[in-house]
Amino acid sequence: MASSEEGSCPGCGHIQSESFNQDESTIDTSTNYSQSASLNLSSRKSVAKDDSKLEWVKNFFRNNIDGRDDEFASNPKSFLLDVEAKVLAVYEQTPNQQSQNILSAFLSWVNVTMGRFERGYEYGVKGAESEERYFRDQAFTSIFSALDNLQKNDEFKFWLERAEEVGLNDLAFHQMQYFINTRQLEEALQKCREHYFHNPDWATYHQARIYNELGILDEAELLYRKLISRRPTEQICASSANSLAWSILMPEKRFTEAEAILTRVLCTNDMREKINAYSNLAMVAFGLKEYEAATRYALVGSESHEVAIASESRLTLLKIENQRLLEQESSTQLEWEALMNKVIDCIRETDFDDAGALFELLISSAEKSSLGKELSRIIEEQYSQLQENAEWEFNEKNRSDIEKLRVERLSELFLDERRYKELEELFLESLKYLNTENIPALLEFLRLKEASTSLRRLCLDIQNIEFLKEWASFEDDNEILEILSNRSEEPILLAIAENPATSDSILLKIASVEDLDLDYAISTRFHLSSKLVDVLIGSQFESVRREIAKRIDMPNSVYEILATDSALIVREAIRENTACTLELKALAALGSL
Amino acid sequence: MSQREEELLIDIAGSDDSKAVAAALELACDFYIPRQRYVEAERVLLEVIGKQVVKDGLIVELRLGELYLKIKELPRAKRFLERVLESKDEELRNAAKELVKALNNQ
Repeated sequence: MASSEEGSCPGCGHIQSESFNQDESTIDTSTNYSQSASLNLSSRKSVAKDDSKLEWVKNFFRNNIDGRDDEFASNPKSFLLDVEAKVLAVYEQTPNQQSQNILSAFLSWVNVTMGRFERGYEYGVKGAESEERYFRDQAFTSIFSALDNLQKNDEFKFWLERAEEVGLNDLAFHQMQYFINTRQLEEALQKCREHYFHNPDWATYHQARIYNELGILDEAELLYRKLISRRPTEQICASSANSLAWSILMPEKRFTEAEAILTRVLCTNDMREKINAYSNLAMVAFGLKEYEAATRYALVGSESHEVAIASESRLTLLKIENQRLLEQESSTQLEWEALMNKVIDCIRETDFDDAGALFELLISSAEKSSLGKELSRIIEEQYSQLQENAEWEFNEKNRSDIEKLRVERLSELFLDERRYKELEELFLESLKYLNTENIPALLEFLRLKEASTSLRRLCLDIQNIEFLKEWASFEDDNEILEILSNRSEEPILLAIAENPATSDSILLKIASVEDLDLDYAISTRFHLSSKLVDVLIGSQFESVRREIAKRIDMPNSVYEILATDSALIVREAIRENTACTLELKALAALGSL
Repeated sequence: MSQREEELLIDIAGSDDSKAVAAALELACDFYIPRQRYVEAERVLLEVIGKQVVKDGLIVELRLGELYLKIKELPRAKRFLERVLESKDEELRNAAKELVKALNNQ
């Protein structure tokens, strides 16, 4: 895992917050968009002129949220879902607008922290109206975090202007992020220096991050190494080592170098960074195929009291076992079944971020075990188990990954076993997760008459060009082909033009596009209607007119027109065409003189 | 756990780096390794690598290299021993050189 990375690390969402001297009334935005876990409202100075208006909301925070920092630290998602439910239960009953604005600001933070960026943004817009500076700033921070993750740079810029108007603290930090997103290096570095002027070490760290995010890896590495040369017990050293290892060395497979810097910082006083380093070392050892060592280091993380870290470490242990079995020549079905059972145990308590990877491991291990024949049952059981997870409804990315895995594997099974009714139901319920995918099993099913028109109509929402192209090449339902022919992508139109089942009206529509490849494809069809011929002999493309001239099934009137064509290659085709009369050939020859 | 082991664990966790290194070496080499508690030995040694100073001469890496040899994790052993070849301490350097030579001949 990296430290202090954008929003969340690739694994557990592990977020590191750094400390720096700050005004008590400011939000800690020091580490990208991570938020301080401290939620104690009573420590925040109210600036409201009439503080009595906020008594209700102060009491609400005191009774429901304050003092639960440990709970948040050990299982943030469980805590967030709990407090969200409590806030929503009273949201509409707030005694005044200011109180509701404060709750909106809080909900914006909750939603953004859980990765629900659209919702976080919406609450943030309301929370930004708060007259309480702490919550107003919290709302702004959530807005920026949401827009950053949604990659909405124009709106980000709009909110920067608004933030400047209200004098938002840490404005330079958000400006820095904007310049990173819009790849303006010098401006980003300038804002970084401005924001971290009081702390040169963290300024260097974030400059390294900027270079890293903009792909200038040599510079990033230089800066990280400068910080790593500090005393290894210091947090900045450990953070930098983890970031350098995770984001540069490990992707470049420079495992030995990564190992050297990570082992050096295991003495850090920061427990999170230590566990991070062990977790990274596990992946390094995995990369070096030293599975015993990888297991030892992953076990350290699996003992963490932080749910996300422990979950990721358990996943690493399973991946190690999976890899070991794959590389071992004589792995037995029993060993695969044992792995499958471990995966099933992990699914029950997994952090949802790891659920997709676990589900994939489940399928692959089950297939190789003696329970392979019961694969569909195993998949459906664990799919149901995952649906019980609290994040199922709103963690769209991870849910989508799981849905895709399920559909891909089950559809192959159902197709092999000719379970067409179940196949149809499976696709109908899951198609919305597949609209950017190319699913071979779906294409195979669409070739069969058993695939209903309703399903075919739903498939029209799929955006994957490869999928649509192949489908267009064999589909014979005219209604579907008509809709497909409204697409502008040439590969799809070409496939339709070559499809023997395509009707004249659709071909005429395609011919009106006046594209060489499309016209050529139509001109070489087995049979051409007279209407199509009329269009094609008027084509602006010589090669298309030549193809018509080469055909032996044209009426003489067509040959006559082409015999006096302006293009030599067309007239020559007439001269060589055995279906043309001597008179026509002579006419073509005259035109060539 | 003996009293001495407890004392050594306290020293390892303490703020005196040089004491921590010495304690880790004693705990690993005199207590854990003889009792085949190799995982614990590795852990205490790894967690003091960064606390060494120049005069320690990378002795922790040498002991780790020896440990990995013992548990037959040979590529790991070689990597850690090769680090010791950069040591300022001639005795440690020579010890590492011999072990690396023996590994290469295997």
